[in-house]
Amino acid sequence: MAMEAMEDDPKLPELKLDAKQAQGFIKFFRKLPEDPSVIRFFDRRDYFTAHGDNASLIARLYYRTTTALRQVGSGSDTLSSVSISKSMFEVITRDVLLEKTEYNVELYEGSGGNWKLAKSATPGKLGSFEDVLFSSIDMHDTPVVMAVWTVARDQEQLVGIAFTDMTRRTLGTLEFLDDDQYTNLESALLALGCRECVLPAENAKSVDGRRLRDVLARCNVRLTEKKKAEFKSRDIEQDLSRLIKSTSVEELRELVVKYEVASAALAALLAYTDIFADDSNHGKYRLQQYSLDRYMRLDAAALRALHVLESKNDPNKNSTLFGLMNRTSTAGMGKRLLNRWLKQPLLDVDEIKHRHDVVQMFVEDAELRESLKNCLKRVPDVERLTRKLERSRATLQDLVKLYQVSVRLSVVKDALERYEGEFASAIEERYVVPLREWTLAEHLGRYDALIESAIDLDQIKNGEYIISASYDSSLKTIKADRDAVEEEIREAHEQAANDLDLPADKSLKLDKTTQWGHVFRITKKEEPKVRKKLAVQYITLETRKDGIKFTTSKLRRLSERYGNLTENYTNTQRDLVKRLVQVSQSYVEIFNGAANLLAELDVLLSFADLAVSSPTPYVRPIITGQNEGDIILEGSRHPCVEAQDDVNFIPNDCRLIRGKSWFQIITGPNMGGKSTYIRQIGVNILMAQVGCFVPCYRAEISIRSCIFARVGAGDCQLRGVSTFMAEMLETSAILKSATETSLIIVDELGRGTSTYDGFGLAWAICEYIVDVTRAPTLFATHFHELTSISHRQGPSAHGPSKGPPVGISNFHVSAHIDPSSRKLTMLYKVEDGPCDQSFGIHVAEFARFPECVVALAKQKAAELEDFSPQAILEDEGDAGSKRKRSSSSSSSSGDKGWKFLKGFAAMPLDQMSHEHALKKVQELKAEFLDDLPVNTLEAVA
Amino acid sequence: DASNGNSSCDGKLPSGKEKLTPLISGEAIKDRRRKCVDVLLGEGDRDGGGGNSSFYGKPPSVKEKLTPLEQQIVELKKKFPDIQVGYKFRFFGEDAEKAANVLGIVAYYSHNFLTASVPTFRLHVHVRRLVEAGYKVGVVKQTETAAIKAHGTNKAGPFSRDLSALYTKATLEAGEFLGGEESGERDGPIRLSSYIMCVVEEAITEHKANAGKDEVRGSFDARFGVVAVETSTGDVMYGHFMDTVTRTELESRLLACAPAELLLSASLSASTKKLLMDYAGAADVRVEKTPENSFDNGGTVAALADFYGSLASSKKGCLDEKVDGGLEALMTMPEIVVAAFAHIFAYLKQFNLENVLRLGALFRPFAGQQEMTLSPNTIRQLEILHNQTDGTENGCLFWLMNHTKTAFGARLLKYWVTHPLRDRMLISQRLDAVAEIAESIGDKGRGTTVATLASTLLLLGKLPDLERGITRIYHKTATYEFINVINAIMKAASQFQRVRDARSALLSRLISAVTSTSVIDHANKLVTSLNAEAAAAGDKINLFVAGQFPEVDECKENIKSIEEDLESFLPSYRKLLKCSNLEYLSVSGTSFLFQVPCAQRVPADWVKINSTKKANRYHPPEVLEASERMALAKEQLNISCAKAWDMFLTDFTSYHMEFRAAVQALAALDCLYSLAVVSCNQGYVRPEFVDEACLLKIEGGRHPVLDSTLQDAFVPNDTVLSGEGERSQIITGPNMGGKSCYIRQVALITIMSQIGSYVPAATAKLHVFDAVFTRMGAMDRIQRGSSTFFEELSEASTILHKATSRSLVVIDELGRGTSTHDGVAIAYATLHHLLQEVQCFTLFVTHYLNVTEVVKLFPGRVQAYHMSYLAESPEGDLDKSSVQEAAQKVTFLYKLQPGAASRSFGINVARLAKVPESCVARAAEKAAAFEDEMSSRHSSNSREKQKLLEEVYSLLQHRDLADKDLKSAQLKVQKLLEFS
Repeated sequence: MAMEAMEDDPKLPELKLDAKQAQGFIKFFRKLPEDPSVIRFFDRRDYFTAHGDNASLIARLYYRTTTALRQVGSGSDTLSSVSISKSMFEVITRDVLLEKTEYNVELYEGSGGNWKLAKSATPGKLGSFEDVLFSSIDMHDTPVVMAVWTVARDQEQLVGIAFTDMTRRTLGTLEFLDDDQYTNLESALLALGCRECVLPAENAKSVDGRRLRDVLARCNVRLTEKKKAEFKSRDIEQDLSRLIKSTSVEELRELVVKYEVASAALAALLAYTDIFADDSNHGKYRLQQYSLDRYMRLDAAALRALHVLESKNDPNKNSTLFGLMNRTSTAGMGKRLLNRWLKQPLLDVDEIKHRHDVVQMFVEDAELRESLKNCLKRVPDVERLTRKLERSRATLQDLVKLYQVSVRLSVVKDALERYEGEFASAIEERYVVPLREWTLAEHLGRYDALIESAIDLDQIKNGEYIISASYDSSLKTIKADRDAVEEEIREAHEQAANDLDLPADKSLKLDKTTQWGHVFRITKKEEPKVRKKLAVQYITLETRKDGIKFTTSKLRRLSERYGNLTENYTNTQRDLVKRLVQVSQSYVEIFNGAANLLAELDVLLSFADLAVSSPTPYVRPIITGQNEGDIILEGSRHPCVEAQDDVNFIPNDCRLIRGKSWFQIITGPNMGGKSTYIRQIGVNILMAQVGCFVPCYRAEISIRSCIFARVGAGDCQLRGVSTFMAEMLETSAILKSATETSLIIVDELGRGTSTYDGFGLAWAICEYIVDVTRAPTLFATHFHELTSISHRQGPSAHGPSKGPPVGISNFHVSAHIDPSSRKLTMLYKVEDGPCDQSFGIHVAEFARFPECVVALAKQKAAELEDFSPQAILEDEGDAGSKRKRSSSSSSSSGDKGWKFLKGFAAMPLDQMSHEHALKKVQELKAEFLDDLPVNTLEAVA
Repeated sequence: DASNGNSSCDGKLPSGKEKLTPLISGEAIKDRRRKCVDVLLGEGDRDGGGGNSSFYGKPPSVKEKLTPLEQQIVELKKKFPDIQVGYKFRFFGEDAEKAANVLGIVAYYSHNFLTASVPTFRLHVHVRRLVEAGYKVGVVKQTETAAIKAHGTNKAGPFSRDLSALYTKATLEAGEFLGGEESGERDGPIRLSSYIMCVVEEAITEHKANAGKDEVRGSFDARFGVVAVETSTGDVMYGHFMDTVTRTELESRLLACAPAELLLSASLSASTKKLLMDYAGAADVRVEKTPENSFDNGGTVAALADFYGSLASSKKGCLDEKVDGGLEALMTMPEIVVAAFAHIFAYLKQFNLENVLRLGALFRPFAGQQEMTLSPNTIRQLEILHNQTDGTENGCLFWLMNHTKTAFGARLLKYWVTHPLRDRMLISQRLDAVAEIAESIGDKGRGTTVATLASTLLLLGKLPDLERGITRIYHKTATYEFINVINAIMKAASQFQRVRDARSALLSRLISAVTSTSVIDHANKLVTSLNAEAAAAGDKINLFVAGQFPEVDECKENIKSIEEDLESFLPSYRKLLKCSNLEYLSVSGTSFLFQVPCAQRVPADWVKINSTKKANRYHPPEVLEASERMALAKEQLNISCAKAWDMFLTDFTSYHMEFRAAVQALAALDCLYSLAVVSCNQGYVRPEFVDEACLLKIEGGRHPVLDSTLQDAFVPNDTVLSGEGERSQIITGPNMGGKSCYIRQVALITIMSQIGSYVPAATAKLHVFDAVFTRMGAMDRIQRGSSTFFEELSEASTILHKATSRSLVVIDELGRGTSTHDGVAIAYATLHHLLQEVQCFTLFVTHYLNVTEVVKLFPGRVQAYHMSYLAESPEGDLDKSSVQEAAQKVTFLYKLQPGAASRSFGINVARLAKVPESCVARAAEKAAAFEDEMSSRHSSNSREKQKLLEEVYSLLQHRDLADKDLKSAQLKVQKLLEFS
């Protein structure tokens, strides 16, 4: 740590190279292959440098001033460079590797013109950079690398993926069918937290290859291309059996090898990551089971729309679900687990209920909650510590930290054991039993004893981590010797003080220097007094501003001995530490188990904390299976919006009821809360399935297997059709993948094109969802005409219906216009029925349109109002062929309207008696009115 | 300077060896468990701390007494409470925490404070980074040196220290020299300009509002005074205006000057604050509030008058009009602007930069009469300064046109680009000059005088940022850059002296301003009074040629005499030590030492200073005393030199204006050169301006930016609009057909023409437009609580109010985002108003085909157009229904054609995106139906029809109808049916 504190001292040098060195370096640098996606750092011992384009990139992005740039070399051949302190290096690599995922990082060591690549890292493969990256902050998320191999099969793609989390040493494969938009792959990428993906280079140009790359870009995953030849699964079986912890070949065959496509991906993954090449990995990897239908599927659009994960542009931490829900106490572990859980909401009713049980326990038992929270507070990152231990990189300090964790475990166990509430047996089974097992005397008890005897815990308070002298006899001897020498030195000091007649410590100081060991020092002022004696009996070492240092031959000898003993002690200790680490490695398994358990408790505690501390407490949702029950959220809020300052959130009820209001169309003025409303439903469901309570007064949730969200990408003229194209692509993917068990959220579909096409598409897509997909849907739109879809009749345009009607209902967000100021006030309340007013012209008025323009617009709008014959004549089913329709004999009301009018017009009044004529009119009218929907009738009246 | 400052950290430098503070100690092994847990808690600060490894220990309980240095810090912080980061090179307390966060350095506890430090030679980098992060940074330096302290009253105390410089975003460039070579910045500074803007608001009561102009209702509720100052160039903008609740006017000022800092008066209303704070948040602007109650009761004028008054009296000797100009200009301004001036004045005073406000001649209003009005939205939507994709300069108009060689040229060009001219004479002057330069660029190498013009202009690239340079000199914050700046001006002048016979009036006027003899004379005078070598080396001691400043000379004399004294001691010591060649020796910063072999004895009163193995070095008391006197004398010399420099710079003030004029002329020449480079592009033509008649005739016009990126692939289009004939175009057609590109291109060509540039077209003929208005694209501003739609309509409303018959209005897809009826109605009514009342030139892009009906109402005045495309029917399944028609394959031709387009192919895109076929078919059907319905509803007789129908129905409601009623009803129905 001393190093770090020193580093920005005035000593941080600027890169100073003489002409020859500079030339040599420039020559070397120019020889490196040009690759704009690599940032190269050069280790100059106390600091780093970067050069060329990398230098200006760093100056602009991180120093935010180009004054940091210096030129190396002279004349025409110069190279811009920037020096980077160690902590800045950390900041940059962290940002580049963990946030941006656009660059790889390389670190060179050497000097002059002779440099060697020492370390390299990519966003998915942090490798030896891990220590740098997480030396001072928590690991937020462990990066996953994936390899993908696809085979076209009929209309679909057979996708094989292999993935590995090298930090957690897990490995997995999966094969699945996917549509041409790769929606399944996308959700897998996101759910697994993939940072980098290996694809065959050869298919870059093909349509599928491009689509694959689009998916990666959408998920912010770095693309790495490898030759097709690497996707060959020849010796995979053998390799795997050596890599994976205790599995039989048969088992592997069953789980992995028999899937050819996935195995091909796995081969490329192993080749790329070099896992196999590293012996220390052998037998250490675990197979990770992952299946697409174990978790709720979420694509990038949904994650974005629901603001699930943190991003750089968040105005504050409460603006994302992660930020809001993260109240974890442990270092790193809880955060990482929460991150994973949010990307993998559960589908199993029992699993969800279990999490809710635990949350409920914490909610109800405030004392337990507080005591556990205190326990977990600042529990170090066990996962990282055990990883260090596994790689034999652990220090004494790390071992002590693990010891402290071990101590904590009993406290956690005790706290949970004391709980006697409703869920006691489940808690006992799931947490207390393993905790009891681990903390037994023959398990962690032994570890504790080992540490207590081996490490001098008294010294920790001084920040020193050393082996107890008593732990080892030779160590003990050395220490005793050293103490003796120290005593002698002290005596020599006193003696000299007497001799020179300078009080010890006050005038005659005893210093410990690196150059000479122990020396005496006096100030310049005192020097003339003792000048004579010094010249004769003492050895003057140095005269400087801070005084005169001198020694005696005795002190010199003692000091030398002291130094030797210290060195000896250190060496002996180093060997002991090594042995200690080795012994400790046998506890890795238990600590890993403990890490998982603590992380889980941490996250669930965090949920409980959120549920209780919210201004309006959250409620436990009632969970039903995918095919039963409805989705009823009473008094629901958007947790993130609600948590913003100065927001007075108006709760809304949402009832998605099968056969009644399974499909909801929401209309109303912009900014009236449509978007918030539809998103909050998605957020509530997601939270429930993650295991958290929900911001409602009462909630019933039928589990959703996936959430699709297509919410406004705004309106970007520049990107023009590409925005619209993106919208259509997303929609198309939704229509193809959504099922009855999904939830669909659509906001303002069809804005990127002409009104007519937009309306047509919105209508057709609604119908398709209602008739074919049958998923519960929240469809916010500004096409008020769309509301009439709720009483459409006639057969479906999308083939026969697959079951009973899903039920369409209309809702609107309400607004109030102040009669005097004409100002529009949003009420943010979702109410039944379609929006009966449109506010466009009010807004124009409020935006200070000239009065004459407003008047003209009002007049124009009146002409267009639903008050013309066409409103009556308009039918729901086939308005498209209206012109041709007048001759057709359909029985719809519209045609009857025409029939009535025509019949009336054609009546030969002149030839009829008055009574007869009246009667005939009534007949015609009755025939016509029979079929009219009530609202049209009212309009007529 | 730097080395002084470093030694001022006389406290121990951070050793970084602070260990964890012990928390509990105990012996029994059982207690140990608890103990370890507790240690862990303390340590957790590192593990769990918010992303930064800053804290290495706990603050020790305040047991130690504050050291004298620490006390000083506390006092300084008390004195300057708002300075966020302070003491030179070391940060203390909270400041250390902040600095650690921003700079990524380590903060730790040392004595009573959390502290962090940066190395001296990186100070400039770190101060910049802190300032960029929005902090106000004060640099505290030692105000006395060791020598002076030793002879002063303050012998025992710590060095006295005081704030020596203050920096914020807007004052960094003009402020005290920081070090760090600006020339290292190859790509120019990060920001071209950093204004500080002060906003003062005054609520308008209901009564007052009505008394004013009877504008539209619900309108103005506040009056604003705004002043913006760019301290590094001396630019001062001011304005006052009334604003509505939406604060559009204020926002436009904000966007126009893009301040780096905002100074807010205490009296702002909530809505203003919200706008400003949102803007500040989004644009990373530092916000400073003026102290509460300052200038509450009209103290403003008094404060300013004081300022100008004291100036006038202090400058009596060489009183020049420019100084008085500031006050005079202020006297004519409304009180609210004066108030803003007063606030800015008070603020800048902290930085010693208030003198910019003296140059009244440089004050200019926010928008001048000479210039075309471009609203901030227009600037945004036409991508004049930034693109809308990623907000950078790539691909914007300024990016295209900026070929300037100097930073000050680039600044001026940015102004030119955002403020095109409105005066035909001025435009053609610029065009003439551009033509002449362009010609000389083309003639390169012919060695004529014309060729010299282009090559001379090229040399501008070698100039440093003169505008900032002379302003810094004016602020007296300049150091030895002074001589570079003055030399550069002289050099430029001598180069332009060789350029003769510039034909263009503008060129010759600018050149004569640059080569003005009085500037050259003054520059010469200034430069010759300095010692060039010393100036280049940054040596203030020998900077002035002797005889100019008696005080300096006196100090030098004094030093000389001490030197002689010291010399006179030598013989006796030589004798004493029996060493004939004894000389004074200087070792590591200590002078006048005698080096004596270790063996040799010296008098006991000699002080041993340092030693080597072989020799000791001593100061005899006499020498020591003299050397201390010497140190003091040198300090005094330093001080007097600094004073002399200050006086010298003060003298410069009287030349400032003429130097500034020369620099401005250089900037203008640079801009003209840049325009000439643009004009040399292939396919560019000089626009021709017509006098009175309104005309816009472009043949083969191209979008300047896309033209340069697409090269030959770009399809040119013609545009003809005239006051007498067709004034408006309604453009319809498929998405992606190039509509937006077309309307942008017309707007951009117009703007480029009035900037004085050639334009990408075969021919261009136009009248001088007073403004270009646009309404395109849409940006949600949820943080402001207003919807896209409201923003859209507000912009449209502004256009309706402000456009004149000599404006160009460009509207893209007005009325989306609300229900279809309202959308159509608003679009229709807006276009109608523009045609009927405003009579400006309008390009109106819409998807609502019904809007084209307006053509019938204004025959000859407006025409419908579409972007042409080729549509192929799929699988030869021609004719049939509209369903197939909608699903055609489309090839865009990007050519504007008369006539309305039939549809916009959104459904096509859906099919390409593989939306299920049944869905696409249904969508096409539904779209066609909707369109039919809309257009029939909208037919001009529909209202009549509706009225008829109502009557018929109401008639038929009655059971007993008279015969004639029945008959008339039938007649009406017959009529109705005829219509449909």
